[in-house]
Amino acid sequence: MVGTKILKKSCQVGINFVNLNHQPVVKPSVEQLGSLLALKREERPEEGYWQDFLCEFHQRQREAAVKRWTPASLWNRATDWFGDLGRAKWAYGAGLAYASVAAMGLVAFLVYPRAADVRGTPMVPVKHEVAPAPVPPVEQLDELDLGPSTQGSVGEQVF
Amino acid sequence: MAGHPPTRPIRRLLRLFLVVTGLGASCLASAQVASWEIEFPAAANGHACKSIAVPLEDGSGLVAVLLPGAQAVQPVAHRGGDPVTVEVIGQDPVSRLCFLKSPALSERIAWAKTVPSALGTALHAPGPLRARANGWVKQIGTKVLPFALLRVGFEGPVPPTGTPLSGEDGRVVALVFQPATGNTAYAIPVDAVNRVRPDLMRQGKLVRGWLGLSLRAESPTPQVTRLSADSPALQAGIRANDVLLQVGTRPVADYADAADAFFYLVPGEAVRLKLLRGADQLDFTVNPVVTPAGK
Repeated sequence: MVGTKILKKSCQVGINFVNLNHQPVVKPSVEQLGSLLALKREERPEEGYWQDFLCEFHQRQREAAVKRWTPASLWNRATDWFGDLGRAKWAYGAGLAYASVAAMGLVAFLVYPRAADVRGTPMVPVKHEVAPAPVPPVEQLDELDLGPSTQGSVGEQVF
Repeated sequence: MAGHPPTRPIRRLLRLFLVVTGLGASCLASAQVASWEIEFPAAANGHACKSIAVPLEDGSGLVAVLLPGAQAVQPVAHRGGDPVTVEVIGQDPVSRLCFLKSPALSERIAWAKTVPSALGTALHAPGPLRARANGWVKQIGTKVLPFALLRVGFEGPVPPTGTPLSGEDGRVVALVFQPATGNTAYAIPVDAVNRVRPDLMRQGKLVRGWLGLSLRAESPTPQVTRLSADSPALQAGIRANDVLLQVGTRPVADYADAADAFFYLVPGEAVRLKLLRGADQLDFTVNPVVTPAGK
């Protein structure tokens, strides 16, 4: 828009830099150049241009904030994109599903250990049995003695 | 009467004095039972012990409790605080009972035949001390006693070893053996005294009866594991794996019950045994013999 105005002004001052065949026609004189520069200095954007620029900038900033990369927005974008594909969406979907299955198969092949690896791993038995505390055997006191150090007979008793 | 108002209170006071005096005398009389005190010297690596001695019913001697660690050799005796001479008739290491005789003995004390079966029976120690039979102790921890003791709770401090405990009829039913926890003590039942006394008075030692059947102490059921060759039990028809249900009048539920019942076997006195063989309940009459040497 600004360039259009400059061309209009330059036409008004009678300056022609090039023709349509890109051939220089006339070299501008110093006065012409001075007039052109003076004209350039007086060049100003239209009234309210900067105000519209700021408004447009803020509007775009808000739109960018709204369109963040959230899962929901991603999903919406993807569905929109698929919706826009028309009938080709079925071909794209089939291709994507095939690629997913192939990727999972590849991951399973790489992650799961092979039989050779399983055989190679030494088996270490886990000691899961809890050893019960040793229970002192029942003693038959041959004599009446309630002292803690008294020892009686264990095992089979004959009466 | 109206002119002598103080007469009735004085009479009442006089009557109360007589009652109190009579009660005190009776208490002193009962305390006289425990006035015999025996001091046994320490055995090797042991320690001396003191015991109250209780006169027997027939006046033939006294019975005291000889705690482990002491020996029945030249005991020192006092009667009412005065030294007297005593002589050891015999002592049984199984029951810890020691029988003595003394020329100074003149008292006779009534003894019961057996301990009242009802638990919670009120007992009396010499003096105002009251007690109550709480139950039987057959086993302490993993140690099975040779015979069951009576657990007695006292309404005060536990009296000294050998103190007689009487029933409601005044007959001695137990002797204090050792304190347990708090105000409770283990007491030797009169049944054990009656079992040991004839043997010790005659032979100076206890003669145990023997049937020749074996039980395992750790077994939860009193099951016969083995029978000795030529034993009375084998001859009576008892077999291995039979389970004892009753020995004499004593029901048997576990090994400790059986050990307690076998303590009271007397050689030569037939005893009825009730056993379980499979699903059958069988009765046998077995005649115990003196324990053979080495068994």
